[in-house]
Amino acid sequence: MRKPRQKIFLQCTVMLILLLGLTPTLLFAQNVLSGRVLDEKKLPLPGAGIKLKLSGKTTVTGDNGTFSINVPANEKTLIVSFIGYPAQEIEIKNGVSSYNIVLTPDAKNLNDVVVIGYGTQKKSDVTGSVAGIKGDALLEVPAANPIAALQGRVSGVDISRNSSRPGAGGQIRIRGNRSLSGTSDPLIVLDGVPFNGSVNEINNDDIASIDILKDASSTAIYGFRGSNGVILITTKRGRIGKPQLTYNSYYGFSQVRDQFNQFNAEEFVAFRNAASPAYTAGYSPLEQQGIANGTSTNWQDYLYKKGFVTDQQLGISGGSEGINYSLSGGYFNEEGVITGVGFERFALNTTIDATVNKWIKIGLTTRNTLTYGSGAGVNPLYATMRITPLAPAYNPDGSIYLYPQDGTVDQTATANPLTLSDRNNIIDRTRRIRTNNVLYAEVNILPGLKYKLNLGLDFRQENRGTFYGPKTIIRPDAATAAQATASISNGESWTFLAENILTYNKTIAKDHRIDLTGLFSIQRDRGFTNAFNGVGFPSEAVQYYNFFLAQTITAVDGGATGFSRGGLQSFMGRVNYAYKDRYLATFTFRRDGSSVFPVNPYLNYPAAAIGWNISNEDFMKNQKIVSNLKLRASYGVTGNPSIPTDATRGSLQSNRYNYGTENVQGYYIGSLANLDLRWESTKQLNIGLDYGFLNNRITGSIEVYKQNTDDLIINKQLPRSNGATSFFTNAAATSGKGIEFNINTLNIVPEKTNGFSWSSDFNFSINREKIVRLADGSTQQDVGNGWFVGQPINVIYDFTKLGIWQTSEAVEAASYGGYSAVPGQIKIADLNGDKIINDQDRSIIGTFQPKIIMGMTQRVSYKNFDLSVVAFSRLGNKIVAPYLTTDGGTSGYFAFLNGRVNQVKVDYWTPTNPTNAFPRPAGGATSLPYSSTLGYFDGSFVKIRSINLGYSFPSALVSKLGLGGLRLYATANNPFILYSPFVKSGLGVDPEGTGVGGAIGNNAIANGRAITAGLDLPSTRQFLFGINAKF
Amino acid sequence: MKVYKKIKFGWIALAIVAITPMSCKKQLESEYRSNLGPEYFLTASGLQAGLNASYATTRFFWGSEGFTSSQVAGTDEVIRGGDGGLDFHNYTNITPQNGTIQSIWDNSYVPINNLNGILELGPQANVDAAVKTQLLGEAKFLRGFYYFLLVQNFGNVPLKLAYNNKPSTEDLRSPKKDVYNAIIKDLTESVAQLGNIQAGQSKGRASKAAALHLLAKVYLAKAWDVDARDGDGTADFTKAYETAVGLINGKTTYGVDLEANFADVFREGNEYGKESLFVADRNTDPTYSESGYNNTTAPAGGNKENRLNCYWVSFYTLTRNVNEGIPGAPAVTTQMAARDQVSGRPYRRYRPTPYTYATFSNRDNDARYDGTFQKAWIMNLPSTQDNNVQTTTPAFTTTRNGVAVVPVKGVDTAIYMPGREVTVAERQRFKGVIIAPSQYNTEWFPTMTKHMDKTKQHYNDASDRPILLMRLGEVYLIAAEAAFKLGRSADAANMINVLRSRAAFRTTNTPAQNSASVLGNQISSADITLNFILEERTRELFGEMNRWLDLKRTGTLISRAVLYNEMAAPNIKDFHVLRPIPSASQLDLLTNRDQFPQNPGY
Repeated sequence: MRKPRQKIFLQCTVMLILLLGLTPTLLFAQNVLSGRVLDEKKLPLPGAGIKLKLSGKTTVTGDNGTFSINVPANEKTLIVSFIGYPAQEIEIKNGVSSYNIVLTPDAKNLNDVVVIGYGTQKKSDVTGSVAGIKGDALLEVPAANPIAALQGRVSGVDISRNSSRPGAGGQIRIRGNRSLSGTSDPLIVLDGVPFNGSVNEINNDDIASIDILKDASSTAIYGFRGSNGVILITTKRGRIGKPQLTYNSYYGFSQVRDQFNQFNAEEFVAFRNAASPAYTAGYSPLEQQGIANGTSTNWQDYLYKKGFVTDQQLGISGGSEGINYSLSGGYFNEEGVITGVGFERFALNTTIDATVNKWIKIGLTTRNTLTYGSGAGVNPLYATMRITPLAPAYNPDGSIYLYPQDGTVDQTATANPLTLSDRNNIIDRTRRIRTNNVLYAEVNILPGLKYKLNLGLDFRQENRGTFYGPKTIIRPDAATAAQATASISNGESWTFLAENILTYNKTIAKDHRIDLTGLFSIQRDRGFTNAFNGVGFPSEAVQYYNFFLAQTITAVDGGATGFSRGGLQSFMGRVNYAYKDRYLATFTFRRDGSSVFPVNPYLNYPAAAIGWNISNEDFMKNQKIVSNLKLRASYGVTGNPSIPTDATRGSLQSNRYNYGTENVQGYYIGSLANLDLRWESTKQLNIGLDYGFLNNRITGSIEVYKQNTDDLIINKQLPRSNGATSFFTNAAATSGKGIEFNINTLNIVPEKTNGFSWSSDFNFSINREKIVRLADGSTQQDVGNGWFVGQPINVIYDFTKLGIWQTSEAVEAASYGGYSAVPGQIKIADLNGDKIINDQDRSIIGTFQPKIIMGMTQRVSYKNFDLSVVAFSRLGNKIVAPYLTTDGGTSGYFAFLNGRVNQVKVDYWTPTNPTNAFPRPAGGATSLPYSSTLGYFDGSFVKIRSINLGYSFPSALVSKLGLGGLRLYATANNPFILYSPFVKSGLGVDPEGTGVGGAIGNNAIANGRAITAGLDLPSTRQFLFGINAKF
Repeated sequence: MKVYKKIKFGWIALAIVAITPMSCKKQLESEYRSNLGPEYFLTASGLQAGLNASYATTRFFWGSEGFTSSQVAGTDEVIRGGDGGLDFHNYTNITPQNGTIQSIWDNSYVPINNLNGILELGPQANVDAAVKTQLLGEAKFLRGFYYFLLVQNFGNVPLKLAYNNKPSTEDLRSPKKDVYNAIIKDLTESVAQLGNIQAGQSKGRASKAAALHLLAKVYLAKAWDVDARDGDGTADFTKAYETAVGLINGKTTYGVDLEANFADVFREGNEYGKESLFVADRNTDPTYSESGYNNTTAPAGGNKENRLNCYWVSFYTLTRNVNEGIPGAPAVTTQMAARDQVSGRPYRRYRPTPYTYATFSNRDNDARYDGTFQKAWIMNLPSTQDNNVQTTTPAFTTTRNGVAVVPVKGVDTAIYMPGREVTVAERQRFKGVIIAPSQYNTEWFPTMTKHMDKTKQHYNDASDRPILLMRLGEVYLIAAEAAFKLGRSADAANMINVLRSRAAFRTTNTPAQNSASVLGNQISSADITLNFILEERTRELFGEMNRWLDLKRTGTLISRAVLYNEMAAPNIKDFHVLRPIPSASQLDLLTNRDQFPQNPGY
């Protein structure tokens, strides 16, 4: 054991000697300075960095914030820095050897550094539209992933929830939608490397900051990937100081905010009676018994349980001369309010930054996650809500009553929701492994000239297996294991990125600051997925573990399976110029080449921006009101990377033939190649004003923008003499414009109120998008796809419901051609007045685009207590509740208002209840004509997203415990909905979506782009209790 | 400080070395593995698969109801039965929106572009030379085949002979003459490249004989068409004649011959018989033959199944007075037969016109009436439902000479359509029910049997039979028609007499009787007129889905439809000899619509 140790010691010593030898040693006379660094609450800040400006010598504060450092005689300035605080320069005064330095947090500081693409910039130098949020602020909403936490926090970023499931992300739109067929999702860049895949794999706690690039000048450096905006996520790294251990943890529980209102037994009997005689099946023996016994079962009571959530994060970070490091491990687990639905994440991260010498710095970030999602395909809501309330949940002997629809046609279509606990027969597990690594080397070539090599390697693997065994609510119709279904899919993909970045900054003649960035980068992606389904297992014990035992195995084609590969090569150059810190200019040029385009792979993306720091002008020097005023303008071109697979190449389709007994497969050209296809491109003009008043107690910005997206890719029909039906081409155009506003105020500062402080952030954004052109100049609408020139991209095109035909209107109701109605049926507006109800009577009756989005955060602190409240609002958008419609198919609620099954309680029409809300049960027929009109609602809401109350223990007490800091907190997530017409109507529980698509087809809503509030896991209210500890 | 510089440049060098292997070009190369692309046609299996798909397109046409109607309805031969669409029968809905016509257009250009791809990429493919010659020959045959379908139906059509890798919303109609010349070039080359038919070979693949048949017919059609032919047409008629006669004279070499018995041509199981030249192939594998089985399996592609076994079947299961025509017998209205495998599913889409019955005039000497129509329905009652019989039905009782008679199941004939009028006495002598021509109506008529399928799995199933598209018998008629137009009536009569001699043959006759029939069924050059040739085509080819194009070719569609088809007569117009260019899939999508005229009249 001795020898290796000696060896290491020797090595270290040699290295130390080398390092010391390489460091220019200064032999001047020295003084010893000492002092203490405190935070704004006058609490000591251990681990703060102290740097001598001239010599570059550094030290770090100790446990109680104290430091001491030898200072050469010629040294004039100390620089004190701490993460989350602006660096402060302290003048070294002759004869003063002790300094008490108080740092104030940097939330609104203009010297704050923001992350921009391929670098960072002082906030006062930024010319584009960049919005950011710091990690601490993000943690005010404890959530499974950063996107969920970001909702309502940044203006111009619309995050609409599209799933109520544990760990679900959300649909992110930066300045609205632009593309018709392609994605409008922004590019996520994690520590400089484009990030593909699930945001669930980013641990909230590891995030130092999120910066969002919104305008074209900022995003143009991401070229063809920039038009949907860019979200830059920067994670925490180690900094100089002794090892610091942090432990953050919370534990909590969740419960459904509300159950769906359903008919109870008495109401159900009345409802079914109202549906008769059109509903002919009457009551099953079991139901008759239920009526006699007074049974009234609320099946949702047997469906929901209390969910729980926990997050455990342990981190250690520190650094000494030359080497900084951080390690963190995290565990997150959320169990949903329905058995078998949950999300679990293990995370392990390391960062190392090694300054080899004055010239070279090398570092590594490695971020590894393992996630388990369960129950992605498990949704028993509909199956539960349709069960008759007249049936009991249990048999007299206490066992589960398996088929409560016994004796009806739905006998084998529904099983008791209590069967969800059959964990051997309902399995749906998705496991993802991801390792995301960035290795960098930085070389200081000459003063101001720096070369950086970034190598990124991201690998992810996903495995999903499902098994739906017999006699459960998921597969009630399967009586035996032989009817059970299993599926398995496996996929992997990797991304490799190599970036060469050359930066040069120089100040010329004092007043001219120039900052140059050049980039050459290469990226490759490759991935594939295989998926199989199996049926006919000998025993449910097999689950999805041995497909050899299945009778039938089918390979899944399309969507889930396949192969993808991408290659990208880019050149980028950027010039930032500042004159006297007043006049700013940025020019960017990017040239991207992609493997997607076989003929001419390169496209160019130029952008320019100018800024004027008005507050730095001399004429502003003598006033105290305006502390910051900056006007910015930018213009640029960006692209959208989503190109349908094979769009440029054409693809074959298959058919079958035989020559006598010889069976053969045929292949023919299904879609034609389009070698001229280009990326969709967006031109955007942005004008912004940053302001700060009263010593920056009031800060914020206003942005206005206009964007035109052209060359949108659509699948265009071809004259068939081409030999194919359609091809992908750049034909359509959209435009958008909007206003974003945010204001951050320090309402009460602690210095004047004995420790009481209050600050507020408020933002709102308004975006209006519309389609400018479709397939060609003369095409005004594409009903099949739901696109209309002059309208937003996602609209509802359907009939207009006027009400319900009343008894007195029988003659008029019957007088229409096409839809000759009887009283009690839906009254549809005959828009063109031709006395015929047909397709011509459809019109655009709403859009999913909100009129305004707002967010607000209030923070109050008094002494050791802190309280924050985050509110979020979307107003003026429609949502669709498919369970209030019926189409007899898979989208609507099967047998809605038919009397056959139970459903959400609605105000239905009867001759004695002449409502205009919902039609007569069974409608006089077996299906409800025009029922899609029943499902549209105002999706506006104002919600409190989170209330967070914390208590930080006094430092004296904390020190006694041997800790560096200790805070306890309690959080309520989603505690209230302050305003929602939909929830108020009693027909739904949450105006935020549970999914995208799934509304009734019939061209009412195009293409599954609707945000639907459907029967999925209801939204929950969460209560968390947590601790933040520093050692 | 020198040391630092070395280190510094060392790092830069290292970084450059690290990046160099990732050469620029390689980054931007495409790689496709999820789906196949057109380059698949550069491989041997790709070439074959491309051909397979192009053959398979024939299934969109032959066997489907819409296409069949477009080829047989609205002619002198066929009128609508008790069910089915009216469009092609009465010419009221032949519009640019007509789905069947759109399907002919759309589904012809898909294989044409596919074949263009094969013919463009195939020559570079690494395939054995002999195999490649055959494959490319088949591709040329098929391209000619689909263009012939287009040019006959639509007249001037866009002519594409190169693989389309530049989709365009502009197009122009090429003159018919150019289209015909392209077809003739393709077929002439394919004749040279294709092989002869080997014994037992499936006819789902093109052969030299098939190419010659098609080429002869193309010359014939071109020769008739004043806008397409060279000069007065003599040259093209001559080529039609020579090509047809060349095939006939070389039939042994090409591996084809006439069946001795007319009824054997369409005998179930004999689809690859010696007279058959080319079929739209199918077999009993429901997946690959894309035809419905067990009355439940939806065929892949849906509209590709072969339902020819149903369209021509009369409503023999309808109730009827079993004592009709017998004075004094009680009126007993009942079902006389249950739907079964042998007699088929009564779609009754098409029934023969009176012209058709009349044309089969020499029935004693000519066996083709009996070889084409079903005359007897054997008693299948009482029945118990199973895969062979539809319903559980009791037997029926007739009253004959005052006596109650029950025809014996499986032995007696329940329904008899002798094709002639009968006396009351004859009805009294017959246990079952006789339906004479005077009793024919939309539901009751003799079933045309050429496409019947008695071996399918379920009485409601579609057919698993290949459909004959070309047979040697027609070649004689092509030669006769060409000879007639060249003024060589004797040659025409000789050709037709070959078929009539064969038609005289009955297996039930003695050789002496057969010889007598041959003599009684001969014609002379004096008999040769256009009408006679068209009537001969009816006798030989009724139900073989040529008629509409035959009449169109010979310029007799309008006159004969007016004369013989009471549904078509009131509405048919001169412009109906061409189909309309589809609006939804072609005209509406063109950006140079003004340069792409619709056919006149539409």
